[in-house]
This record gives sequence, C-alpha cells and structure tokens, in this order.
Amino acid sequence: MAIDHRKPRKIVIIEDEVLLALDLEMIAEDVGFTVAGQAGRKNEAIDVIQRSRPDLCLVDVHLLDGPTGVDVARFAVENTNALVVFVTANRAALPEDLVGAYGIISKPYTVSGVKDALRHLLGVINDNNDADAVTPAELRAAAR
Amino acid sequence: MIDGRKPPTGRQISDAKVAEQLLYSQHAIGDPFAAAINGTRMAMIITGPSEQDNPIIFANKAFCRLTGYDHDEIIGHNCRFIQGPDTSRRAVERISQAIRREEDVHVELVNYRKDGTPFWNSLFLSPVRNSEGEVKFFFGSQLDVSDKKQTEFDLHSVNDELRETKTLLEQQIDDRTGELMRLLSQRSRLINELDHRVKNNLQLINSLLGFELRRDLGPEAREVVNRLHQRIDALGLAHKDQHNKEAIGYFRVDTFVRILVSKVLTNHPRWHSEPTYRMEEVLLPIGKAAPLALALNEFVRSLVSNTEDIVDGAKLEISARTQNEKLVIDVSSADLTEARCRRAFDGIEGWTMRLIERQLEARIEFTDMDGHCGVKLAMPLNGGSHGD
Repeated sequence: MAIDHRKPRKIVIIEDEVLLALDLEMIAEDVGFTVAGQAGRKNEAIDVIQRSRPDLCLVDVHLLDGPTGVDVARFAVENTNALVVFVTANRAALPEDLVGAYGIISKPYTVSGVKDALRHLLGVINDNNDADAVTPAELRAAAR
Repeated sequence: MIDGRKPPTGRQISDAKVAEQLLYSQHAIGDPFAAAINGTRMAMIITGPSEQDNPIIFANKAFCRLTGYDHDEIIGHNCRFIQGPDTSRRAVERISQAIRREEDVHVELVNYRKDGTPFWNSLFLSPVRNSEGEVKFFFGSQLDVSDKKQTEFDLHSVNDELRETKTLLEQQIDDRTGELMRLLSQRSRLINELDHRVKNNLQLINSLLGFELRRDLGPEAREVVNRLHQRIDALGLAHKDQHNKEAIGYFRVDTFVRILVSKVLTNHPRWHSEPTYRMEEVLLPIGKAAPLALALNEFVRSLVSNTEDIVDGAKLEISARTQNEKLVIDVSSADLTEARCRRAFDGIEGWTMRLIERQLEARIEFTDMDGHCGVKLAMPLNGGSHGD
C-alpha cells in the first residue's frame, strides 16, 4: 500500500472504552499515523485536540460523561483543520449533518475494515488519493 | 302584554269592533268562506293596518282555543299580547319588517297562552290588498308546532350528546395514543441502549482477539485465533445497522451478503476484491442475520482459502434471488475446480451444518453449471425455528 511518509500524520482517539482505544491506536500506527492523544471525556478530549492539533480525530459518540462525542466533533470541526470521523455503535444518535464530520465508522468494525478506512483517510489528508479512489466499505456504509 | 306599550284605549277598541262589524257585514251568514274560516281547526286572525297599532279585528274560534283568550279579550289588541319572555326578538323583528314592507312572512316563535304556558307557533302572515292594490288587512294563520319543535330539540340534544360522547372518545383515544407513544419511545430507547451495548461488547471481544493476534503466536494458534476473529467479525455484521426503515424487523440480504463477502475476501488477496454480483432485493427476518452470517462466512472462507491452485485475480460470482418462497444464494466461480469445491464442502465443520439445517432450515449443495463450480444455499423466506 503506497502511503505518503513525507510528514507524519497525527491522530487523536476519543473513546471511553480503554481496550477499544488501545486497539484503534495499534491499528492507526500500523497504517502509519502517529497517535497524538487519547481521551474518554468531553473536556479532556477538547483539551487533547486543542493541544495536539491532530490531522484526524476518531470520535465515539458515547463517552464517560454521556453522549458528548457530538460536542467534541463539533469543536474539532469548527476550531481545527482535522478530519473528523465518528466511530459509533449508535448512528441513530447522530445529527443528520454529522456536525460537519467527514463520515462514520460503525461498530462493530473489523480490523481490516478500519485499516482500509484509515488508509483512505490518510490519502485524503495527504491529498494523494486517486480521483476515482473508492471509499472503503466501512466509511461508505456509514455515509448513507 | 309584555312590552311597555300602552294598552289600547276604549276608543281604539271600539274602532276595531266597528271594523270587525264592517268585515262581517261583507260576509253575511251563509257565506261559505266565513263559515270555513270560523269552522277550521287552523287558528286565524285578521288585523287592520289602517287602525292605530294594527289591531286584531277578527279572530276565529280556533285562535281563541289556541291562545285561551276570549273573543272580546282579543279584538282591538295588537298581536304582541301573546308574546313572552322566550319569544325571539329576531322573529318579532322579522314580523314587523314584513308588515312595514307589506310582504309575506313565515316565522316559528314561542308564544304564550292566557294561562302563561308557552307554545311553538308556526305563523304565516300575508297582506290582503284591495282592487287598487292597497293593503287593507293582514291575514295570519297560526299552528301549534310544539311537538315538532320538541322532536327537533330532542334531535339536537341527541346530537349534542353524540358530539360529547365523540369528544370524550377522541380524548380517550388521544390519551391512549399518547401513553402508547410514550411506552414505544421508552422501548425504542431501551432497544437502542441494548443494541449499543451488544455492539460495544462484540467490538471488545474482537479487540481482545486482535491483541492475541499481535502476539508472537505459533502458526497453528494464529490460525485458530484468526478463524475466531473472522467469525466474530461475521457475527458483528449481523448487528450492524441492518435496520430497515420500510420493513421493521427485516434486513436486506443483498447488501448483507456483499459486505460479508468483501470482508472475507480482504483476507484472501489472490481473489479479485469485487466479485460479480447478481442480486435481487430480498428481505429476511432480522433473527436470521446471525446464523446466516456465520454459515456464509464458513462457506465462502472454505471456498476461497488454500489458494495454492488459484490464479491471481480469480473472480467469485455471487447471486441472491427468491424462488418458490425460498431464498437462494449461489457462490461460484469459473476459477474453482470441482475437486476443490468438494474438498471445501467436506471441510465444513459439523456445527456449521447443524446451524444451517436446524436454525436456517436451509439446504446446501454442491453446484456445477457450465464449469462454474460452487455451492448453493436454499432456505425458506419466512419461518424457521429461531427465525424471530
């Protein structure tokens, strides 16, 4: 898989299940991201995003302090240049416009599915995806 | 007399009596019209508009019977003496207007007898003109329509009652609907919450297996964990957002199969990642999603693994269709040999066969169509022992 390594891309993972966050971190590193931070609560999440200026935010909707992932995503969309992708088992809880997020990876996801999605997102960030690049199933299934 | 007008003076009354006599003189005894008017059961009066205050100058016997007044108590008085508290002012105004305009009028109004009892009076009043066209008299006929009115009122009150009952029923229906909606939203919140947790836990199980796979396992252990990992993946698919807005409780088999097959193929890169699909839109009860996912995962995996004799870019052909109330899923390829398919078929583990036969009530068989070998799964569209 051709990945642009010119500049390490930073990812932040907002997920309240520690093991799932760890799993996602490992997958992200496999794909070539640098993990810049992780948080499971709204305030921590906003703090981490503000501090680390990530290129990509993966955001679960339900965090330790309730369904605050939407607020976190909105903050990242409005205040940073990061791509924001929801990772959630509860798509129904998301607003129609996804508060400006790029897409959704729905739980339960597969390692290979998330890898495909992250590679695609890396391509979007580095602006080196082919014009006709197919959106991976994990992201694509979410977008509809 | 209800209104405050002055009663007629003696002079007025005697003038009216003169007019009455004049009328009688023109219709002497033996005049059939006079006899008819006096004999009829219809109450009738004649008033003299040329006299002051348009007094009654003739009243037949039926009028006296209807109102309870004697003949002498009537002549010389304006008709309004039979009005009372419940007499409609609007009806009275219509009568006055008709008299002023010299027109016919019909009104129904409440009048009062001498003893004070009210009755519904259906009054016809019309001007009587002489040969010059001047109005000389008004002719009025009265009919007691209290019974008819009572029926009307009864109908009204029945209507009112019906309306009230309807409102009450509607209120009750609204209340019940509100309660049901509340319970329903409570229920769907609960289901959402449960769904959410189930998905999260499946994800956790898969992450745990993922951690194992990152360790330095021997090839055999790696193979076992991998297989488990893929099965949990397939199971997870059954819990993805399969909810069908048009048909609650059903899932779309065609999209489901596509996602499942593409997942299996990501682990077998020698196969072309996009099979050839021929899919009908088919719905199955959501309870079939998990066993179907597990069964298909086993079959497709066993067909495409061990790729030593497979050419690069080999392509699967997959179809889903309904036939005789059955869902038929075909997985085949021109790049699969019969021997390989038979081997795959024999390699299916006992539990998978049991799942297919018992829970899906499905039959699975080896197929060979023009050199395209594969497997065919046929299962009932509805029913099944664990279908719901």
